[in-house]
Amino acid sequence: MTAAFVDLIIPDSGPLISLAHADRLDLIEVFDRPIVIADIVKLECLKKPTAPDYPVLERWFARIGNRVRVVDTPMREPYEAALQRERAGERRATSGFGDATLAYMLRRLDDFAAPGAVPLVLIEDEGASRLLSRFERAHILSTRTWLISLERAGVIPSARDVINKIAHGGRELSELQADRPGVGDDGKSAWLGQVVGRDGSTAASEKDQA
Amino acid sequence: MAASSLHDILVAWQQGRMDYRSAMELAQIDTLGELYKAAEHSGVPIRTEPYEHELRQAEMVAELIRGQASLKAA
Repeated sequence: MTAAFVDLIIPDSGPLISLAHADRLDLIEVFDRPIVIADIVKLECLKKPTAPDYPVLERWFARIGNRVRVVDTPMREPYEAALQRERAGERRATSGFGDATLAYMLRRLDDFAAPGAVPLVLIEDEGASRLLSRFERAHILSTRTWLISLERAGVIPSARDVINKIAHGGRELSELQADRPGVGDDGKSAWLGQVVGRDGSTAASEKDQA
Repeated sequence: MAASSLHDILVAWQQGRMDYRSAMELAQIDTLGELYKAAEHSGVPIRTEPYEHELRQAEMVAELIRGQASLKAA
């Protein structure tokens, strides 16, 4: 394979939040190249100051400065209006904007990557990355695949350690939040208040992460 | 889809049957970070094992990553 510069494009807040949860946002910065992030992605990352990863994300955005190129999308104004309504009490007013931003960015990768550079697009979900990769010229990869790639390239010793840290990072969620019932298509919850006890299978230590 | 428990939603998310945004919607959880915390509280393990296609893709991307150093040095 001929070497080519890689431009990292992030149209989904999921990878940043996942890496923040592991306190490994430094792994976004492995290339000495600008990082392209959609405006909605930054807004989503910083939309809830009480979220467990907010302080990490806030510090990272402040520190990284102009190494991140935040690109404008047409969704910004309606998103900000929806966010105001959400903060005023409207439930899930911002729902759907993340998906719309992802679709918008994927259709315009040539506008965001430098000429000749290979767009490397990070999204959170493996299923979506598999589906989208069939149609796009860019590498569209999930957070997990990104971590495995870094391991294979010798950048990190273990992708599994970082994923385990994602699973257990951040502050504790309140019991009230954890116990909140799910809702079915009929708008009702069939949940009976049962929280399944942890079986211990995910209890690997993260403390050895650099 | 039938009405689901939080545990069912989290399991479906980690099994790849539901994306994280849908899981957040159904679970009435606001952020992905909180979804991780809910999984931890509910004993739903986060998948660490890669799928075969992820390994193939990671190998291609790893080569690109390795190539960045030589491009920078050139």
